Amino acid sequence: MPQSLFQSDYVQHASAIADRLALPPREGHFDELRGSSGALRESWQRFFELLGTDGFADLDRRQEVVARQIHENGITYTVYADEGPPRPWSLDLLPFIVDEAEWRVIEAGVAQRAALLDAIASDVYGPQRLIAEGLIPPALVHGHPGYMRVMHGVDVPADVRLHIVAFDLARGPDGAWNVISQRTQAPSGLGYALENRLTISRLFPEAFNDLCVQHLAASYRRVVDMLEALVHREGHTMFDEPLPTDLSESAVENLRDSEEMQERVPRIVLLTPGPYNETYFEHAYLARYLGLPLVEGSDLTVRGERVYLKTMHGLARVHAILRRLDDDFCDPVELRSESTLGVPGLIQAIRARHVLVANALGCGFLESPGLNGFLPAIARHLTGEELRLASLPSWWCGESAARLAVLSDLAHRVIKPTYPATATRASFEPLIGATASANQLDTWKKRIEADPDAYTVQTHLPLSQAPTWTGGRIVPRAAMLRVFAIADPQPDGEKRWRVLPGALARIANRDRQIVSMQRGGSSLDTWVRTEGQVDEFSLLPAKLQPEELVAARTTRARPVSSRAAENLYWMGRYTERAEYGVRLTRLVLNRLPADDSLPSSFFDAVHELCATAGMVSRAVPSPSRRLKSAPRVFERALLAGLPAADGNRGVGFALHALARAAGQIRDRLSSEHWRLVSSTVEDFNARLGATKPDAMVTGAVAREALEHVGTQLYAITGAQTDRMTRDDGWRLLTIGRQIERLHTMSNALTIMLEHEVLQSERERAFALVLGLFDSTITYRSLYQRRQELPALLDLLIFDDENPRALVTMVDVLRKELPRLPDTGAGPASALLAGFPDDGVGTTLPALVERDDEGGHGAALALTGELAALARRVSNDIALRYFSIVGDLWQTIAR
Amino acid sequence: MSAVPQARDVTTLEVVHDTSYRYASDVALAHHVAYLRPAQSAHQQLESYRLEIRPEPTIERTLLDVFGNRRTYFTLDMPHSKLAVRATSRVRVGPRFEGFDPSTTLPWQDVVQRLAYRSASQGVAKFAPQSEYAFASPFVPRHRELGSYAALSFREGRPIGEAAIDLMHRMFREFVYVSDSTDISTPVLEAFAARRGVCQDFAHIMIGGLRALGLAARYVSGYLLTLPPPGRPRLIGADASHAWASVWCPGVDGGLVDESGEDGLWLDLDPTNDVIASTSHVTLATGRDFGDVSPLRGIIRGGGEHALAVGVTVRPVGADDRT
Repeated sequence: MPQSLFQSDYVQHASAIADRLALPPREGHFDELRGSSGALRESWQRFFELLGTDGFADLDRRQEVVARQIHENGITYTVYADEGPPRPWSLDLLPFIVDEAEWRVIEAGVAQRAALLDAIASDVYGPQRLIAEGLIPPALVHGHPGYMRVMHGVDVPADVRLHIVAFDLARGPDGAWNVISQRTQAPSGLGYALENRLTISRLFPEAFNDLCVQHLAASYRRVVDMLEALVHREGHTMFDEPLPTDLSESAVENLRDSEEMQERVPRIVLLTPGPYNETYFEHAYLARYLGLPLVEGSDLTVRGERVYLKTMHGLARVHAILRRLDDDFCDPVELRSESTLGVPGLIQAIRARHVLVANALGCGFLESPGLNGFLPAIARHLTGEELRLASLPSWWCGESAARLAVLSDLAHRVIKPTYPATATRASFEPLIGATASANQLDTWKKRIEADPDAYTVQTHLPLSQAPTWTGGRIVPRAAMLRVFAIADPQPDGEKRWRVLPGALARIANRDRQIVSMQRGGSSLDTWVRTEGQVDEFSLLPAKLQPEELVAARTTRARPVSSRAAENLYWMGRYTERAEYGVRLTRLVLNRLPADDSLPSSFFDAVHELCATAGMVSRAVPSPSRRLKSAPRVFERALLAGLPAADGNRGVGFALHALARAAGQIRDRLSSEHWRLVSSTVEDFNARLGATKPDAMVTGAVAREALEHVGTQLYAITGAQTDRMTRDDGWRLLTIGRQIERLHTMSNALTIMLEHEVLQSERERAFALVLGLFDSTITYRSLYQRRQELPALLDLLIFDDENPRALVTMVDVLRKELPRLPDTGAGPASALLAGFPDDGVGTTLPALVERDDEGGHGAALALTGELAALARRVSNDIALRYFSIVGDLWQTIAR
Repeated sequence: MSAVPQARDVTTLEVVHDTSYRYASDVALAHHVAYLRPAQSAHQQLESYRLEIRPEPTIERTLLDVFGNRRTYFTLDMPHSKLAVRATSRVRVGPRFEGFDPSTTLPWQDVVQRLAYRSASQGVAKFAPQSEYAFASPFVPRHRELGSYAALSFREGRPIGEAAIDLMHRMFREFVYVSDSTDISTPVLEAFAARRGVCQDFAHIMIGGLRALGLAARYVSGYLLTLPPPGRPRLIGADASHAWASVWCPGVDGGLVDESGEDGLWLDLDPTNDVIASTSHVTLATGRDFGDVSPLRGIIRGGGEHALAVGVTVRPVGADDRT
C-alpha cells in the first residue's frame, strides 16, 4: 500500500540521516553507535527511526530544552555559594543505550563485586584472615588511611557494610566491560542519574517506551525500605525509648517483640557536608525525592549513645543516617579532630547499636585501585567463583614482582595513587603514560621506587565512544558508566545486592581522554533495555495541591530541624526586606527633585529612610543639601547600592540573603519555588549588569529591574503563603515576615514623624508613607484627597482591617507566637511577654488626647516601642529555636 | 651507654595522674576518650586501678581497642565549668630486658624482609602482624629525612637491637629536651629540624626513622618513677606522663620471644633518657603514635578559653604501705 510504503521510506530516511551525520570514532575504540559491519546497532537504528526526520530537525531545539531545564531546576555541580556562580550540571541530549543481554552481564558482575567487597570489609573489621593468609597486602589495609581502627570489632546491623556501592565501568576495544574503580564510602551520582532520566525521557517519549527502557523509581524506594528493614531487624536497641534503664531482661524481651515496637517508623536522615559541597544539589534533591530530612552534622547531637536531630520541637531520635559525608569527617571525637562537619560521639552510638550508618564507616580502603589485582584470588578463596566482570588490569607496586613487570613499560599505562590524600600525605593526579616524555617517565619511575606502596599502575584502556549531539552532528565521545548496587539483605540472613537498572554515564571532553565532571566532562542518561515488564512504580509527587498540604500535616509530620527553622525564619524576613527595599527605591526614584529644587525636610526624611534600610551610606549627602548636584549624587548612590556588591545592604543584598536561606532548605521547597527564588536573583543581577565590572546603572534600567523583581517577589510570597506545608517551620516563616514588617514599618513611621513632614509637606509625605505601607488605595477610598494626620495614623496603626496596619502585624504575632512548639524551655506563650494586652495597647483617641499636635508625639513614642518589641521577639525566637549560639565545638587534648 | 638505672628487683609503684580543666564558660556537652589504665603484661601486673571523674559522667564505657589497650569513653551532657579526672593505679613492675643481648638480634635488613609482603601465590612467608607498625601514621608521616638520619646507625648486616640502641644514643646526644617547646600540633619534622622537643617528639622521630627503613616501631605512653632510687639521677619527664619508642627485634634463629609468646621482642627504648625501659617505666598503652593513645582528649561544646592542669606522681610503695 502506498501509505505504508511512504512511511517506510520516511523512517529509512531518519536512520540514514543519522548514519550520514555520525562522525567515525577514534581508531582502536569501541563504537557504541555502529556494529562491526558498519551499520547502526539495532537499538540506535530504532531510536532514530522513532525520532523520524521531523524529530531530527528538532534535535537542536531539544538540546536547548535540556540546557534550559537544567538551568531552571537549578541543577548544579557546585553550589549556591557566595564565591562565584554555581556551575550548571552538564547533560547531553542523546541517551547511552545498553541492550538487555549486555546489561545482564553487567548486573551479575556488579552484584557479585558488591558482595565481594562487603565480605572483604567484614573480614577486615573482624578476624583479618585475608591478610594473615596473604590474600590482601597489609599495606592496602593497615597502611591505608581509609582503614579505621576504631571500627575494628564493631558489629553493624545484619553485617552489611556497603548499603550503596558504585562501580565505574568502561568498555574496551573488544567490547567487554571492565571495572575501573569503585566508590564505597558515600557514592555520588544517584540524584544526577535520576534528574538525567527525568529530563531526557521526556524528550524522546516514543523511543523511551518502544525500546522498553527500565524505570528507576523502585530502586530508589528500595534504599529507604532496606534501611527501615535493617533498623527494625535491630529491634530493641533502636527503639529503646523511653524505656527506663533498670528494666528486667524479660521485660525488654517482651517489648522487643511487641507490635508497637514493630510499627514504629524509623527516622532516617540524609547527612550532607553542607551547601559548599560540590554535589550538594544532589543531596537536597535526593532528600526531597526520598522524603528524608536533609541534615548537617551540627543538626545532630549524640546524647547517651543515641543520635538525635535538633528540631524546633526539641530532640528527635534518629535511627539511621544515609550519609554523604566521607568517613574521616564523621566523628571528631574518634577520627579527625579538626573536622567541624561531623557528629561528635557518633561512633560510640554505632558501637552501642543505637544507630545505623549507611555506608558503614571504614570502607574507604576498598576504593584503592591497588586492591583490584587481588580481587580474583579473593573471590576464588571466599566463594570458589571467578569474577564475572574483569577489573582493568592493575599492578600494585608494593608487590615487587608486579612492580618489576610494569616499571619498564610506563608509557603504555596509567599511574594512579594507591592512597587518597590526607592531612599528612600528599597524593597526585593520575598520569597517562602516553602523554608524558621519556624524561618525565624516568622521574616517575624513581618516585615509584622510592615509595612503591603508594603507586598503582593500570593498563591504559581506550574507552568506548558514545554518540552525542554536537553542533548538528553526531559526535563520538569517550564514555564511562557509574553503576549502583543497593544492598538487599534477606530475612534469612543471606546478603544480596540489587543493581539499579540504569547508570550515570559520563563522557569526556571532545579532546580529552579523562572522563571527569570536574574537568568539563558531561553526562548522558543511561537507557537499560528489557524484554520483560517495565516497572511503572513512581516516587515523584504530583504538584502540590492545597488539600494535600493539609493532608500532609495530619499524617507523618516531618520534624523541622533547628537549622531549617532558622533559615525559614530568615527567608520570611529577607522576603519582606527585599519587598520593602523595592517599594522604597521605586517611590524615591520617582520623587527625587530636579537639580534646582529647594532644600526640604522631606528629602532629609527620604535620606534617613534609605540610610536606615542600608540602601545608601550615611556619608552620602542628603538630596536636600543646598548643593546643585546633591540630588544627582544621591540618586547615583541609590542606584549603585542596588546590586549586592561588597558593603551594600540594599535590595540585591536582601535577595542574595533570601536565596542563601532558601538554598539551605532546598529539600523543603518545590523545584518551582526554588526556581522562582533563584531566577529572581539572576534576573535582577542580569538586568542591572551586576556581573560586569563598573557597570553604571541608569534610572530607567533600575526602574524596569525593580518592577520586574517586584512582580517576582509577589509570586514568592504567594508560594510561601499557600504552597508550603503549614508546619511549625512555615509558621516561623510567617512570623519572620511579620516581625520584619513590624520593625521596618514602625521605623519608617518614626522617621517620617521625626522629620515632621506629615504636617509640613503633606502632599508628597502622605504619598510616600502610603506607598511604603502599600495602603494608597485603601486610604483614598476612605478619605479621598483629604490629608490629615489622625486619619493617616488610624489607617496605618489602628485599623485592624488593613493588612498593613501595625496593629494587624501585632495581632498576627499575638496569634501565631503561642502556637510555636515548646522546646523544653516552657510554652511559647512566654514569647508574648512585653506585648500590649490588646491591639497596640492604645487607641487613636487616647493618642490624640495625649498631645495637641494631632497625636504626633504620642505616635512617635508608640512606633519606637513597637520597633523595640519586634527586635526583642526576634532575639527571643533565636535563643529558643535556633541552636547556633554556643554550638561551636573545640578539641582539647593532652 | 650511659648509666642505665636498671633496678633488678620487682618494684611496686603507685601512680596518681590528675588532669583538670577549668572552662571560662559552661561546657554544654562533652565527649572524652581516656587511656589512663596501665597495661597488664608479664612484666607489669596491675594490682589496682581507679578512675574518678568529676562531675559524674552520663555515660562511661571501657573497651579494648584494636591494639589491646583499655580505652575509656565518657560523656558529660550537663553544663559544667570544670572537669577533674584522677587515675590511681598500683602496679608491680618486674625486670624486662635483663640479660638482653642486642648482638643476638637479626641483622636489620633481614627484619625488613620479614616484614615485607609476599603474595599468597608466593606461599611460604609467614605474615608478620608486627608489620602494622611499619606503616606511616597520622602523627608520624613518611619522611625521608628521618630515614636518612636513622640510617647512620644502620650499617649493613648490623643486628637490629644494636643499631636501634645506637640510634637512641645519637638522639640523646644530638637532641635537646626543652619543656613545653612543642605541643601536639607541632609536626614531627619541625622538632626534628630544630633538634629539640619533648619526649613525645623524640619518640615520634625515632619511630619515623625506623619505619622509613622498613622496620616496625610503635609508640608507648607511660610514666616514669618521680624520684629515683638513692644515688641515681632523676629522669626527665617524671612529673608528667611520658612516652618512648619500641622496636620489633626478632632474634637469630627465632631465639627471642615476646612476653606473649610471639616471635621477636618489642624492645622499649627511651631516647629522652637514653635508657632501655626498666622497672622505672610504667606502660600505659601502645599504639602507632600519640594520636592512638593520648591519655585524655575530648571534644566539648562551648567552654570558651580553658585552663589545664596536669600532675603525675609515681612513687614506690614499700612493704609497710601495703594494706
